[in-house]
Amino acid sequence: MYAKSKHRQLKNTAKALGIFSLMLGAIEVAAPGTVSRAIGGGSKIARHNKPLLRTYGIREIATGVGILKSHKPAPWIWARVAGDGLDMAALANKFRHSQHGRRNIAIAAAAVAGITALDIYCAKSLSRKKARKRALMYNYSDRSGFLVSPRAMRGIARSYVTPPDMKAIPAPLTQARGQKPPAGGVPESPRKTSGNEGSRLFS
Amino acid sequence: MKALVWHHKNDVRCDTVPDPVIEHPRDAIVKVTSCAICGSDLHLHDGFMPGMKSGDIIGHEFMGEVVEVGNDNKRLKVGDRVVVPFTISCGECDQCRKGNFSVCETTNRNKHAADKVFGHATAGLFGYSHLTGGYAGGQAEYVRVPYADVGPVKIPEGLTDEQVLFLGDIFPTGWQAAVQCDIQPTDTVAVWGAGPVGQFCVRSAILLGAKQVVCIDNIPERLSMAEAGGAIAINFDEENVVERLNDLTDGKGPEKCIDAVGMEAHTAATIDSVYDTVKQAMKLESDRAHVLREMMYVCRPAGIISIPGVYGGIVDKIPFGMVMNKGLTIRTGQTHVNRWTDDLLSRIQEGQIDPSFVITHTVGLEDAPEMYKVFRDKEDGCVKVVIKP
Repeated sequence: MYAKSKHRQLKNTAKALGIFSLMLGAIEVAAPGTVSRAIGGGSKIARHNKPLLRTYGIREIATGVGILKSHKPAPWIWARVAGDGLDMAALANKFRHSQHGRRNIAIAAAAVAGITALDIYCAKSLSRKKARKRALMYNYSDRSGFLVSPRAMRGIARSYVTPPDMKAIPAPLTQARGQKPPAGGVPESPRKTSGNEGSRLFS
Repeated sequence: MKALVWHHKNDVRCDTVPDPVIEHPRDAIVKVTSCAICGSDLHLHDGFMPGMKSGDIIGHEFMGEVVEVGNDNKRLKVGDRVVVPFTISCGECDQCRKGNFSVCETTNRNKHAADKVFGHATAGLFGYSHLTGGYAGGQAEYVRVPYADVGPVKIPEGLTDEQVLFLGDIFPTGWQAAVQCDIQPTDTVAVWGAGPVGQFCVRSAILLGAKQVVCIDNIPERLSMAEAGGAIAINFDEENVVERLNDLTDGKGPEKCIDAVGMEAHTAATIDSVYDTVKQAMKLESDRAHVLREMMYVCRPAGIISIPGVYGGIVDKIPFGMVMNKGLTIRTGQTHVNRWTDDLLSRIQEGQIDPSFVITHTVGLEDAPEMYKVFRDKEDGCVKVVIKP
């Protein structure tokens, strides 16, 4: 019961992150200048940053769609973590080269760090759950489908004649290359079939 | 009667629907005794196949007892026990006469729509969208079988449902995938996907005498089943598929590659798989083609790529230069089920193979909608679900 509610909680967190991604992406695409100014850039810098912010916006939208559409969102959350890294790198670069608005940049960096922590927690928890599930091994090593070992069954249908429309190489070419017939020593089916029995019924 | 009905993406329900009736003198009505959820049903469930309508009865892998026969049907009689192929074939058109039953020219009732989407229509299929005729499927208590004097395979006494049910789809599908590789005793056959069709590809390749058979997946229990059938397993979460396949073939690559995965490939986090997932989520691509790309890359020059896995629409970034320059042959298509059933039924009777090995879950119709999710998410060790209506 606990595990189920915990899983639901994680899924809800992932969903919230997806919606956040979509909203942030939409804002970055629609109003990159406003976003740039809010994190400490002047109007000249805002103009310069517009293409980059739009690209970041498209990235956010893509990960948001991925999280919301997928029933296994962990890889998408990890994609968000990678995107957070890019955001931090961009903010650090801006911090180094800006004389003004450093306070706003620091606030933005703190916000990104907080959301990164949430992303990492969510992605790790979802991945751990997947790993736990994979560890639950159901062993089907006794399900061969054969009465005897596969080794003994190998080639039992070797005498089966591949239908002409499914041959790899036309017979004359095979003979011209001097190919030898298959080596013996394996049990063979007594029947020789072309696989066309069904079609012959109707010809 | 009760039947599994598709309502919307991720929404399959067990509903009460009207009983089927004879609509044509060649029809039969079959009381379903066993049916199965096929991997390709998941494409419907997950909303990847176009042409579905709310209210469609799904399911195309089923068998049962004939309870009513049309006046012109001289082949079946009430009480016959039959497996019904998922392809509906007339048995009379040019394609059927050539044995190409899955591209029958007659049975698709929505030929105009299919012509527009595929260029030319293919055969009608049970419970598989209106692009393939919009026929009611077999995950139901009863089903109407059109052209029932052609497709249904009569089952002799002494064989259980579980032994013969898969003659309607996955066994012939795995067999055809292997046969169209024209396997030689020196061949390495690589099979992507250890799901039910992949399992039958492995066993078919073993029976046909491949030197070595390799199966690629990341689900341990499925790989253990493939190994039981004689395959060398590659877990793509743990090792590099291309490197391992090259190691196993002296660096030359497998001669024959089989894609038993299809449009919903799950892979390790490769660049192309991320690209596919993003494009698919944004509706810019319908199918994820990672397996196709990997096969084209690793396949030995002059090799054969066999594709039984279902694709529904458009794939992107296919390295066709590799295919052309390496002289690869691609063979694909829905299975020409009736072309193989007589032979495969004989092999089951002779004890060469018992297809029931693949069944991991058996449920009633009421529980089947939940099993769609269990099967899709590969939970509870699920490989193949059989439903008993």
